[in-house]
Amino acid sequence: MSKNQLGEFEELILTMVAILDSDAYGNKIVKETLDRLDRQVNLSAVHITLYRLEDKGYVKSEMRGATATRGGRRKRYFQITNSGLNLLQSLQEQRKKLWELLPLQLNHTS
Amino acid sequence: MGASATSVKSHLMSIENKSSQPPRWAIKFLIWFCEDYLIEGILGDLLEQFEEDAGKWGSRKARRLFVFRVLRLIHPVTISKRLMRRERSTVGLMASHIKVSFRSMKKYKFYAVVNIAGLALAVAFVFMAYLFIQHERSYDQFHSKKDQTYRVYQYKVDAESSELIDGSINGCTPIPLLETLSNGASGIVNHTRLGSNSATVVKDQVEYDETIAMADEDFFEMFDFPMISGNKHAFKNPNALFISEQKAIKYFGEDNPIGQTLEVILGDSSLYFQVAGIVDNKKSQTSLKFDFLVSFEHLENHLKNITSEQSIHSFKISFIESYVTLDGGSSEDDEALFTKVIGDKMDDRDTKGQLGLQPITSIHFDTQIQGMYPAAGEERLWLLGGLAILVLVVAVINFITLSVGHSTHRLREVGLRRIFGGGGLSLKIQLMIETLLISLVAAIISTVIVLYFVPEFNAFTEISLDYEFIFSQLGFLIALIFGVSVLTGGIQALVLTGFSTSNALKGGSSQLQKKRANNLVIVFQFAVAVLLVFGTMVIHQQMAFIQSKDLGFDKNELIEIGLHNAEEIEEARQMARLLETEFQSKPYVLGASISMNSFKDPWTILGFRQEDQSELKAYFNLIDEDYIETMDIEIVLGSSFNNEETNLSTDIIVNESMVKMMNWDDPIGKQIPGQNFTTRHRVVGVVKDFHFGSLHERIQPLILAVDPGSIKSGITGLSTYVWPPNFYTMTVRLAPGDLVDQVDFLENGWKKIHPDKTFNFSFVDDVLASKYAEELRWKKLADFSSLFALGIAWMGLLGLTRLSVQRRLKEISIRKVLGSTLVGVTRELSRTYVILVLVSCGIMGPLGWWLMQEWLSSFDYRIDLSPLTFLFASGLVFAIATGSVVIQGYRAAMANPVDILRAE
Repeated sequence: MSKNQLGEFEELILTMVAILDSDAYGNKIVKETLDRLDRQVNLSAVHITLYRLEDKGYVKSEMRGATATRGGRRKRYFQITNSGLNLLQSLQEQRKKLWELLPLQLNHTS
Repeated sequence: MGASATSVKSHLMSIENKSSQPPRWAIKFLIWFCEDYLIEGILGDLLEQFEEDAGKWGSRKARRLFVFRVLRLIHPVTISKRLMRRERSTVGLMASHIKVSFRSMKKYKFYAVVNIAGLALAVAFVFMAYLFIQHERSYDQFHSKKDQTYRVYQYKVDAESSELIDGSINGCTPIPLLETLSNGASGIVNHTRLGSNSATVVKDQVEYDETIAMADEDFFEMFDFPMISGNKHAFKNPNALFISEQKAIKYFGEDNPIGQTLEVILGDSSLYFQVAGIVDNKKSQTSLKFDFLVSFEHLENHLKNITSEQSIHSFKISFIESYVTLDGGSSEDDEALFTKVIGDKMDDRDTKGQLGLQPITSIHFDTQIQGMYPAAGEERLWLLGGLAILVLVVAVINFITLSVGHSTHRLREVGLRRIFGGGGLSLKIQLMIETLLISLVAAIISTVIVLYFVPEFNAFTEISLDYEFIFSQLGFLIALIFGVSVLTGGIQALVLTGFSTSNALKGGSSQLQKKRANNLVIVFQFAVAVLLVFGTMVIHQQMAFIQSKDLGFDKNELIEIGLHNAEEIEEARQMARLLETEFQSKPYVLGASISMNSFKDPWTILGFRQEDQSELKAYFNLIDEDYIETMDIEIVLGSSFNNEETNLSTDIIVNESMVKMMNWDDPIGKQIPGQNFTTRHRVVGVVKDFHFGSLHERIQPLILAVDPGSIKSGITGLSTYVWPPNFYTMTVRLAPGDLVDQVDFLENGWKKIHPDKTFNFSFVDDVLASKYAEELRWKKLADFSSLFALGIAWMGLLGLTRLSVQRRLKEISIRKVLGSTLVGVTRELSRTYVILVLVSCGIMGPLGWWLMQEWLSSFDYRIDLSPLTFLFASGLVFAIATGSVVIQGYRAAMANPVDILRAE
C-alpha cells in the first residue's frame, strides 16, 4: 500500500485502535468489532495488520498487563499515533467530498 | 533455532498445568518461525482466545482453531529475520549465480556438452521407455466396468487326477456357452460374445477384403468405446453396423456415413447393413479389436450356411470369445459356479472341461490364455524397464564422476571463494545451481529429442505411443530431472566443499586421484557398453536367421486364393480343375494345386486314440496330387502322390518329424496306429520337414493325404480352423514378373468361372512376414535402445578418458621433456585402458553369454552363439575407447610442456 492509502481492513483496525484508546490489543479488538459491527474478524489477521500498521508508523505498541490465563505473558497494547490520526482524518474528508458529489436523488435515499 | 531452548521450554511449561491445552507442536512451530519479540504478545493472545473457544465449543474445536490461527500468522511481517538471514542468496544473488554458471559452462565447453548430451539422452530414453510401458499397461483400462468384466476361458483337467492338461488353456469358447451360463447361474449382469470373420465389403462396385466382428447386444454396455457419432442403442437393430473412424473415412470420405447402406459379402451371402454409428475403436489400447461391428446372429447364419445347424450349438468347437460382466463378488466363486453349470457338456472321455474368468485388463499380457488374437508378453516390459534403469544409472554415474572430476579444475576457485568469505552454504548453492542449470538444459534438449523421436519411433516400430502433455507424464519427467540434478548436485557440492581450503588452493588433493574408484567406473562403463553391443548383435543375427531361414518350401511368388465352399469334395475338385485349366493358359503360371489348410491359419490337428487310451496327435493337410510339386517340397523317401502306382484312396505321405515320432526305421508301408481304424492305409512317401507353423516351434509331425477317407476312421480328436475336410485354398506358383498383371489375369480367370464370387488372394511371403511382424518390431526396438544406450556410454567414456588424461598432464609433459616420443606417451596412457577393457570383458563375457543363451532358448530354431560376435562387440567398444584416449593423449602430448609445468 502506498503512502496515503489504506486497505479496508487496515482502516478498520486502525479505527478500532483509535476507538479503544489505550485498551487495544488483539483479542479486545476482535471482540469489539464483533460487538459493535457484528463482524467476525480473525485474530491472526488482526495481529498481522497491527504489525504492518506499526511498521508504517500509524500505531505504536507497548507491553503490559500480564494475566494468569496467558501463562503470565504480557499483552501488547496498541495506540494510535498522530500520523495515524491524521491519516484517518484525511481519509474521512476524502470520502465526504466524494459523497457530496453524488447526484441528488441518491443522496437523499440512504 | 534462535529462540533459546529455555524459553521454548518455559513457553511450553506454562501451559502444562491446564486441563485442555493447545497442540504443543503448533506452539513449537510458532516459536520457530516467528520473530522473537512478537512471540510473547502473540502467544498470549492466542492462549486467551483458546480458553474462550474451549469454553464455548469444547477443546477439540478450540485446538483446531488454534492451529488455524498459527498458520495464518505466517506472513513476511511475522517471520523471523534470522530465518531469512541464513539464506545468503536472495533473489538478486540468484542472477549472479546463474551468470557464473553459464560462464563456467562456456569455459569448460567440452564437459558441459558431454554432460548435457549424456544426461539428455538418458532422460529421453527413460521417458520414452516410461511412455511405452505406460501405454502397454493401459490396455483396456478405459472401460468403466473393467473391474467386473472378464473373459471366459476354458481348460481341461484329467478326469481322474484333476491335473491340468498342458496346452488345453484356451481363450476361445463355444458359441452356446454364454447362454447356458446366463440361464443357469446368477451374478451375470451383462454378457456378450465376440467373433470375427473375413468378408468382402462392396462400395461403388469395388470389392475390398475386410474383417468383420460380431457381438451381442450388451457389447456397448460392457465396453466403453467412445461413440463418435450415432447411437449405441441402435445395436438392437439386427442390420445395424458400427464402423471405426479409419474405415468410415476409407469408405465414406467426408460424407456422413450414418444411415447409409453398406454391402458386405459374408461367405456367399450378400448382406446389407445400415451404418448406425462411428466408434473410436481404440485400436492401440484394447485387446478387443474390431473395425466393423455387427450383430452376432450374422456369424451364426454364416456358420449355418457353410457348415451345419449343429455347429452353432456344439460345445466342442471353440473359436469365438465370451465376455461377462459380473455384479461383484469373488471371481473364484463364479468360476466354480460356471463350471458346475456347464456340467459335462465340455467333457471328453477322460478329461473334464473347466471354466475360468480372466479380467479384461490382463488379457493383453497373458500369453498363457490365447484368444482370437495373440497377447504380448509382460517379460518384455520388464526387460525394457530394466534397461531404462540401467541406462539411467550409467548416466547418473557418468554425470557425477564427470562433474566431480572436472571440478577439481575449480578447486582453486572454491578455495579463493572461501577465503573471501563466500560461506559454505553459498558455495554449495552455487554448485547446486550449476548442476540444476545443466540438468535444465539437458531436460529441454531431451524434451526436444523425445518430441522429435516419438513419431520416428512410432513409424519405425509400428507401435503408436500416445504422446500427450498429460500432467502425469510431464510430472514424471520433471521429477526425474529434479531428482537426478539434486542427487548429483548434492554429491558434487558435498565432495568439493569437503576439501580444506589449503588443499583446495593447491589444486586438488590426492583423494580425487583415487585411481581405484575411477577405474571401477570405467570398467563398469565398458562392461555395459560391451553387453549392449553384444546383445544387439545377437538379437540381430537371430532375427535375420528367422527371416531368411529355409522353410522347406519356396515361399516366393506363391499366391493363395480362397476357394468358395462347395458341398462335396468332388465338386470342389471339379471347380479347381476348371480354374487350373483357365490359369494355366499363361506360361507364367508355373503350377497350381489345392489344399485344405493355408498359411494364414494354424493347420488342422488330428488325434488318434490308441490301445492304451492315449491320443496320438499329428497335423494334417488335405491336398491334391500337385501340392508337393507346386510348393517345391522335397521328397526324401518313397514317392509323391503323382506316381502312377499310387492308390489315392489309401496312400498317405508323412514328414520327417512324424517318422521320428513313430520311430519308424522304414516308414514306407507303415500305418498310423490307432484303435479305431477300420480301413487300411499306408505311408508311401516321406517329405523333408517344412515349416507350416511358427518358426518358434519345432516342426511337428504331419500327415498329407489326397483322400480323407484313407484315415478318417481312426480319427478320434480334432482341432481345426477349417472344417469339414474340403479344399479351401488354391495355391498358384507364378514366374517372376509383373505381379500386378499376373494377379489381374488370375482375377479375370476367376471371374470367368465364378462371376458372382469374390476373388480373395494373398501372397504367401506377405502372410509369413506379417506373422513375424512382432519380432521385427522388437528387433527394431532393440536397435533403437542400444543406440541410445551406447551413445550414453560413449559420452561417459569420453568424459572419463579426458579426465584421466588431464590429470596426467604433468606426467605427460615430464615424460616428453625426458625424451619420450608421442607414440610412447600414447602407449603409456593406453596401457591402463587395455587392462581395464580386458577386465570388463572378462566380467561381461560369461554374464552376457548366459543372458543371450537364455533369450535364445525361447526359439526352437536358433543361431549358435559365436565367440566371434562377442569379440567383435568388445573390439568395437575397445576401439571407441582407445580412440578417445589416443586423441586426448595426442592433444595432451602436443601441448608445450613448458606451459603445463610452469603452473607448479
